[in-house]
Parts: sequence; structure tokens; C-alpha cells
Amino acid sequence: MMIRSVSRRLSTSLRSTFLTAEPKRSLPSAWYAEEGKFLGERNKALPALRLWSESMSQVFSTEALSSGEEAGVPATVAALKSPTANIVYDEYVHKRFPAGDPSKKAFTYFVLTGGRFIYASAIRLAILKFILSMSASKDVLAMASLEVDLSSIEPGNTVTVKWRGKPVFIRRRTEDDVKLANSVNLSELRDPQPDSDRVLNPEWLVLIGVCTHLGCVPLPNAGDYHGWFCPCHGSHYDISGRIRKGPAPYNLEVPTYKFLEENKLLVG
Amino acid sequence: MAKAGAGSGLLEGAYRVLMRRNLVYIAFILTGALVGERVLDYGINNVWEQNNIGKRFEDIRVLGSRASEEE
Repeated sequence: MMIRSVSRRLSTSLRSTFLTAEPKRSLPSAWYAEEGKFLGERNKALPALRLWSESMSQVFSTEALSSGEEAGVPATVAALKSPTANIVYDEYVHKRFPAGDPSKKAFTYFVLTGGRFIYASAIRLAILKFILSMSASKDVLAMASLEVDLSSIEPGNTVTVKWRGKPVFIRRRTEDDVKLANSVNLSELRDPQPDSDRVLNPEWLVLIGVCTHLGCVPLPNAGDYHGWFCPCHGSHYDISGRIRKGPAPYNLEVPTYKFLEENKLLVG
Repeated sequence: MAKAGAGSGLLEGAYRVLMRRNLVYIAFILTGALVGERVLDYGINNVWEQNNIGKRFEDIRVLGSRASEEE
């Protein structure tokens, strides 16, 4: 705004603009003498300042100090009251497109939009990190209980779920399975336990699927006793998870569990 | 500068559609961010895996379907 006002007054007074190579000629001579004296005194002390002020005189106009107050009208008011069609832009620092060139507005805005994609994605990440940091951490989850929905398990099917990092077998036993489990003579078991000790509800058998020999996961519906078979060393477990044949010493472990509603099981 | 004439280029057309209303522009940025993130993730993951064939856990004991090279 200041540059435009200055250039307007320059044009009306028929002087060259301050962009030409000789700015000093456009100043009133009285003031120039004054300025030379002023600068001369300072130059002895600060040669660097002289260099700066000489270079700056090409960018910042010195016209504002000259004639405005003499005419009794401030420079800003004089500029507002003397509009001209001859608009001059400062091209010292930036190059302008020639008149008539198609503007690069759309291209520029799309470049900025690309940047905004990245900002949006960064903000989304920040928000997610803050919110998810408030959810359960892994040590809490490691000691957690697990709810299992039992409605989709058919009789005779076994479902394996992961609880505290271990597999848990949940088998919905049929009547025949229960009868078979109960018909075993306890004295021939290596680890005698009646079936009723191992289940809350005889229809549902919940076991930790880790072989008591050396920790492999037994395979369901395998082995000689209609139960599980551990492929690592050949341990056979029966329909109640008890060890019958093979190197394992104990029966498959029964975790703490309880039935929440009709069809939900809470393990642990 | 292959776009001759003001307002006829692809970018100008997209400008007129997308950047007139702020709400449309914001929606464009959000969808662009989501879609772009997924595309970039997929692309860069593939580049990484191409450069590291045979070194992933999934590549172990794959019979015949992929030739694994150990560098």
C-alpha cells in the first residue's frame, strides 16, 4: 500500500520511480543534502550500516519523508484522494506473470490440497493414538477373562478359543459321550478323576488344550479313546480329557469357568 | 502448459467441482486422505516384499508355489 501510494505521487509529479538506478535524484535537493550529512556523520562510526541503508533505499521508498507534510495533507490521505489507473507493482522481489497468461490458481490449489491430505492423515493418526492409548494394555489383557458365545456350537463339536495365550477346548458333548465318560473304571486311569469332578454341566466340557507331557496341543476327534490325541509323543486322552495311553502323566487341565447366561461361558 | 485457454483444463474443471464450497472441499480432503493412505500402504508394502522375497515367516516351507531366494 505504501509503495502504491508512493508510486502514485511519483507519477503525478512526473518523476521516475524509485526503482530506477538513481534514487537519490528524485529527492528534493534540500533534503538530500540533509541526508548526506546525516549519513556522513554515521558512516564514520558504522560502515556496515551505510551499506545497508544504500541497498535498502532501492526497496523502501524515501519519498514518504519528503513532501507529504509540507502540503498539509498526510501521505495516506493524499494517496487515497488521487487514484490513478497506472498501477505499478514491486517486481524487485517477485516476478509477475505477463498480462493474459492463464492463472495457475487451480494447479496451486491442488498442490496445497495434496499437503492437506497428509495433514489430515497425520491428525487422524494422532487422535487414534491418544484414544487407543486409553484402551486396555497388553498386561491387562493377558490376565483377562474371556467370554465365549456357546449358541453356535452343535452337539459333538469342539471349539478352540485363545485365552491368556493358551488354547481352550470347548466341546459340546452328546449323550453318548457323557455315558462313555461315566462308564470308565477309575482304577484303570493313570490320573483317576470322575467325570463329574471335571465338568460343571456334563453337556459342556471345557479343557485347556495343552498336553501335560511336554506341552503340545492335542488334536480333537483323534486317538483310540474318542477324545484327543497329542501328535508329539502319542498321548491319548478320552472324551473327558483324561489320559489313557501315552507318556502324559496327568489329565488335561480344567480351567475355572462359569456359565453367565444360557449360552455364554466366562473362562477364567 | 498443455492446458490452453482459461477454464478448460482438467485442473480447472476439478477446481470448479471441488473447491467452490468448503464442505465439499473438506469431504474431498478426508476421503483423499483415507484412500491415499491405504493406496500408499499397499504400494509400499508390495515394494518391500518384492525386495525381500524369501525372508518372511510366511515364505518358509512353501512348496513349489514360489521360488525363494536367500540373499
